[in-house]
Amino acid sequence: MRAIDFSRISEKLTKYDFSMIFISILITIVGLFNIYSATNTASMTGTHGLFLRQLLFIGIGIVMMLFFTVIDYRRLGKSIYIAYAINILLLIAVLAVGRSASGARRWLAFGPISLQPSEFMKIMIVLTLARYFSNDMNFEGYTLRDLLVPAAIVCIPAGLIIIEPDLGSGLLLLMVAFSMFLFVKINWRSLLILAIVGSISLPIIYNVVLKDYQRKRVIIFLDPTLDPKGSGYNSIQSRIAVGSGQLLGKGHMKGTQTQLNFLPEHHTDFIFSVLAEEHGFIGSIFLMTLYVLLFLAGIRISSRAGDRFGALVVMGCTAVIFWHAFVNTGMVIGIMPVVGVTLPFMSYGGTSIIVNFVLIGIIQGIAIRRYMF
Amino acid sequence: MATTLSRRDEARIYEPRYKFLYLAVLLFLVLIVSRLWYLQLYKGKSFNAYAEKNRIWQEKDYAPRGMIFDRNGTLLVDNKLSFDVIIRSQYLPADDEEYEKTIKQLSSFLSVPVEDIKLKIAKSSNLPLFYPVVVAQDVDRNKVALIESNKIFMPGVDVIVKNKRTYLYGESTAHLIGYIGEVNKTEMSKLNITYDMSNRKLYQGDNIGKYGLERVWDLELRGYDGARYVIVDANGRMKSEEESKAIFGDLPSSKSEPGRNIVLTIDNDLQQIAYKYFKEGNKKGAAIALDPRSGEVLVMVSAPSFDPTVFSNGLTNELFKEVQNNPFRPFYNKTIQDHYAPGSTFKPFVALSALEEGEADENSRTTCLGRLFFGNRYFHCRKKQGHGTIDLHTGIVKSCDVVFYKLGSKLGVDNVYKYAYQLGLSQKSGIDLPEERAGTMPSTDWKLRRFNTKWMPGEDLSMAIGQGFDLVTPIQLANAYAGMATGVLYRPHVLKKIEDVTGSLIYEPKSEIRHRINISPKSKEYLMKSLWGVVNEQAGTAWSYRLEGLDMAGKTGTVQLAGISEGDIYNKCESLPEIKRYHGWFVGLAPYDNPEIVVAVIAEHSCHGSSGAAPLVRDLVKAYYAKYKFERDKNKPPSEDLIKANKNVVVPAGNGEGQYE
Repeated sequence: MRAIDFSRISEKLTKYDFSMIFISILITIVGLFNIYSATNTASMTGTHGLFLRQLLFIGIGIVMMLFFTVIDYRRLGKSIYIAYAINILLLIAVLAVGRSASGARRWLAFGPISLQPSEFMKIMIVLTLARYFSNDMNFEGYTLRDLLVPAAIVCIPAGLIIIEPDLGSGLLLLMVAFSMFLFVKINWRSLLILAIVGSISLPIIYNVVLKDYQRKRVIIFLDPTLDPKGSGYNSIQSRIAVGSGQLLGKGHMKGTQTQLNFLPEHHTDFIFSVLAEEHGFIGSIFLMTLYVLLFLAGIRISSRAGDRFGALVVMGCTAVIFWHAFVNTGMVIGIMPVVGVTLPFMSYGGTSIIVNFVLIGIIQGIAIRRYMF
Repeated sequence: MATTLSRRDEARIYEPRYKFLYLAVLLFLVLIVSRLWYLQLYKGKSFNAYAEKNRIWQEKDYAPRGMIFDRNGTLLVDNKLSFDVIIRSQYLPADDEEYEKTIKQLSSFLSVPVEDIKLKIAKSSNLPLFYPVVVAQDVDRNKVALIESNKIFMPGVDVIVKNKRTYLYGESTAHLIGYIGEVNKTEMSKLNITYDMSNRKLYQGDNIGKYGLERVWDLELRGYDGARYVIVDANGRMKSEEESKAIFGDLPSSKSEPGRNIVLTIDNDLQQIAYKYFKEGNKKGAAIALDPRSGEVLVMVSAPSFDPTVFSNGLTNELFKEVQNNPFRPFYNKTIQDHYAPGSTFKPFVALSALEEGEADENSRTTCLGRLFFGNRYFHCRKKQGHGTIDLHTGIVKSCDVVFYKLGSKLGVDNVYKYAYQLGLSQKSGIDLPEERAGTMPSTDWKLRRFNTKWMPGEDLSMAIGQGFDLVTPIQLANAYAGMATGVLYRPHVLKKIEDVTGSLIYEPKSEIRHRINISPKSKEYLMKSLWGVVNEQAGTAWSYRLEGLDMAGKTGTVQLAGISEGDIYNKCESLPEIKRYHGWFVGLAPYDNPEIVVAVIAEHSCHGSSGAAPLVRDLVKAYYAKYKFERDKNKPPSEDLIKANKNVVVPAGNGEGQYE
């Protein structure tokens, strides 16, 4: 391994664009305030533990981020197929081992540490597809036959994750991959065929293949308010929380919906509703602006990346964060189905925090190496 | 492939794509911000007013659980409406004086001391304020009416209606039907793996079947809960639909669908006779009755029992512990979950083995002198002075131990195992109830595997009188006798059918044959005649419990408990403390030549199979005949020649009730 050249690193520190790190840490700080408020409610007193754990996760995340910034991203590309295969095996292990444990089939325990292989798969899929497409560039647009292999690369893990069952993460993987497919350009004729086949086969699958109760699930998934016992309740309570925040919000730790525990899961998937209730429209817009700045920085870094692989990796990593933010906020404000997807840098949860910081680290590593090939 | 493009050219190709990405981000911002604007600014005021003053409740519409009937349509389990009075602390008056007044008024309506109500509120102070605290359960209707009409003066007080699971025959069906209870966290996470995303998902506060049939058929019985949203104001009173519509538009709701009804193969009249026998005589044990032609279970009783209605509607820890610590184990369904040494009820299996293996026939004779010296010790017969020289038939009728010691020794355990295994011993009967035990039927192999020691010749002797390693559950024993009598071993079952609320059939299990049994008709006939003799010959151990004209066959058994010294054997069993007294068995079949009912009864610590268990078997058979067989022709007494054939046998005085049979 090449020794790390500290003089060059310090040179880069002053010369290059660190907006990614800066913005993500800013969002994390906003998130910490929020988690503090969300975990100190009437029924959760004495759970400072959650807040402290989150601090620990952020610490680990930042170290991981710096690590991935420092190492050369081209090294990541070299052994990515093996890493991808290992991750697939871990996903299978989750299904095999996790099945016997009650409830938590998404986690895999290694002694005291338990991991969610489905989260790491999000990084793997971006790197694997980027490697694949950068080796096999096609500027005319890929036909459906060209896309068979990359489609398999995505569908295998996505399928494994969906049967865990973690529908949210599985669909997210598909969305990220499809974004990358569109970005590398799909032949327009192929795209048309795909659209036509999709729009014909979906109603057939829905009406003929699916059984009654399965159809019911699809409908409830699309419109949670139809299931008043389950996710519909969260959806309505979340909308009340957001709406009642009005322009300025009720103030830090004063959100009644949150503090009285009307809203389930408010420190994980529904963390945004805490912010919206307590800091109102202004606070929400502030947070959304931070996210938009993060995405814009990601797109800019991608467009100026040193090579094709780098450009695709940055684009994919940004897409992961983008889709998470979009699906999560959409769910909280009632324009998206209720699926268990976290809000990057805001939601409580170790694996989510670490994965998001690793994504930032990879992007940043590419940003500081743009003239180096 | 244009892989040779320079970076600059490539960048130019990519440029429009990046413009798309910027556009996507812009779209994201517009979408989210406009929705936030709509929720927080445009509708914010009403949401806020709503959040301040009102609460949205999710009111569950609990599906009535399916009812359970016996084979003749007698209702066994019902849902009754019950009214609970609750308090939501959030809405109690803030003013101290008003608060006191409310509590006082409620206490006078309920005739519960003020302190008790305050204690209940204090106990749940760690719960969210809007949580309902149950002040009184199952309140009578007059009080409910009083509280309902005065609710306006008692803010925070409310009445909720619940379905109360009611087991109409209480303790007598407790083990069979089981009980329900609130789902706990472990059950919830375990079950919700499969129920997730479906409308079967369990939530805190839901009831599920915890035991017995309630657990086995939980999904069918449970039905589908519905729910609706209701909006309550700052005083805990419900808002009108118009007001809530103004804020949310149409609130969704779903109606409950009642669970399915279950019909059992049980005959409740017989079931009640059986439980009454145990309850009134303060007896412990179990009774099972089967229809040997189908495997349908007619009676399943285990005693002592517990009250499933109490268990299903707010079971307290103290009660649970009390039942759990009872030395006579009320929590066991002893018909399937407890195994006992079969004692002399095992002898017919040895006889069967001897007949089939050619070690005995109708002409063989054995001399019993009251004991047998084998190895280095005496093996005693139940009759001290001995039975004299007798044939196998009389050996069964009088339950002579020496006859079977000798047969056991001649046959060896493995030959007996061959037939006992065929009759289902040491295997679960496969009944449609959980946690059945398999019992034990020893063999030389088994002993080697289990204890890693060789089978001792002396063990053949105790095995042959059902006092060795042999262990059977009552259902196994009943089914084995049924198999012996019919040549077919059925899988016993208690479910007759499942119907929906309208009564149309959803599911009906077929009688399932486990296997046919390979016995010659000759041996079968010989054995059944011997069992008939046990009841219908004067020398028989169950002669006192015969039923005129009913042709019941059967076998008594008495089981010594461990730790009885040789000197104790002929001591009076009744002089021992109850927990040390012997168990009594009786297995009966009727009619003996073509049985329609097989009954096995174990009367724990009753000292004798004949006096402890046989009366119940007799009563059940009698009741069965009265109910189902009254039209049966009672001529053709098959007994004439049998009685003649046994005329030459000397009947011992006192018709032979020994210490152990």
